[in-house]
Amino acid sequence: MRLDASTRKTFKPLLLMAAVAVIFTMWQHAAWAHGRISLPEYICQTLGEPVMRAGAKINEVVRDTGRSVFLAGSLAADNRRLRRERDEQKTENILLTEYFRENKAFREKLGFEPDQPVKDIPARVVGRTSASGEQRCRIHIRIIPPNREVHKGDIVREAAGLVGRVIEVKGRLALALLIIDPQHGLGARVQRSRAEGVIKPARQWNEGWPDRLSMQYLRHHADIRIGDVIITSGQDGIYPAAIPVGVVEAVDVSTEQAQTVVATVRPFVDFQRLAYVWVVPQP
Amino acid sequence: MLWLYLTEFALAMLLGAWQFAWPTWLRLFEQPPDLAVILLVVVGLTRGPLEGCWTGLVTALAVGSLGSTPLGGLFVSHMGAGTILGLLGGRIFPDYIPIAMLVAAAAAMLMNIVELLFLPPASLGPWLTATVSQAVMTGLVAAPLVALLRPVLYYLSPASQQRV
Repeated sequence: MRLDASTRKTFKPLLLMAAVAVIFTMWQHAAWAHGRISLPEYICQTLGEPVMRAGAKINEVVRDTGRSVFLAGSLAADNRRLRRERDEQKTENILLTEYFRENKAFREKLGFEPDQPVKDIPARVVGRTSASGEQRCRIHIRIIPPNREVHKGDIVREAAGLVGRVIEVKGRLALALLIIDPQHGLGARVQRSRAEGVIKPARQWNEGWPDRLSMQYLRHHADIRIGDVIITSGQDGIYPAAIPVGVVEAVDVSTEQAQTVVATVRPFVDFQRLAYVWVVPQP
Repeated sequence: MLWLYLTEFALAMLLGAWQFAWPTWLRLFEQPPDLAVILLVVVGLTRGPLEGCWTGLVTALAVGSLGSTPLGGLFVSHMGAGTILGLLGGRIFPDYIPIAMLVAAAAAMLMNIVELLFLPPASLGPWLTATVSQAVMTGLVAAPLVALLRPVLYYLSPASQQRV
């Protein structure tokens, strides 16, 4: 079969582009096999990073402005309430400072090691992927303190509670697996009763509750109630103990032969409004 | 001509990154629109198969790199879609925004189906919901984005008399 000149003219660049695609794919596979990223990916990420950061900033401004406009009526009342709460917390803070100093003095007298300096790194959430049901976010670390690096496995948390863990680090960008990802699981316990179980994402598509967790593998007749606070148990070897995870919203006791208790947990972190996080070194 | 190719690359990077930074409160079932597909539709339908394929190459590279996704399936779906849209260029009129919206939604859905062959999801239910939601979002966002992209490509076109 002979191709005419115009067809050949179109066909050649198409073949060339297909060859480039094959090369890039093989390059990526080879780089991933060694735990690195390929040069084309690195270039694209370097170019895309400022846009993602700017996008996150714009989203924040638009959301805050929109919220201010819609909630203008209640803003004054909120402001008064917050001022009152601030005054109360100032008083509480003075008390806590006193307790802290007292505790420090006791620890020194009892021969405890002094507190280690904080190694947490602040980071901004610049992107979110939820393709094929996966729940991950890309974070940008602006300032990395000296003698500190972000590693795969580091814990990502918010002031409110646990967010997830770092699964990939590329320069100042890191990919975090969220605790609501279908692949994620962690050891947890009920803070009040110390009952232990495993936290997995709830089957939100079926239950219609977004971003809910499910506490499973609880012991027979486990003491768990609605309103109980769930924290990490530290038994999984991934997360340290006592990081807040969420609060129990519902408890389902199966009446089948093998009686099981499953609790639905609402995470403390609002994954729909994730903006800033802390990266904490893995213990 | 080189400027046009470079602009298409820049637009692919911009839209690819914007797609990942898309606000969570503007998502449908947590799905952002596939902005790269919209660029593919505009370039493919107005500029022909060659530029459609090039745009497919750069959008796949941008989306795959920023999302840490295997590139193989993305290259096949994006470059295939770009080339097919380019071949359909004379038959579908992108001047009509509703048609561009429909084509963008259909392309987003078909490309997800092609990518399914390369990267099968854990379960089909969430994948189907995500695919349909993304197609709907892509169709909706296509209206303003097509209106914005067309003049940009028009002014960079070497033959400005060509209809864009």
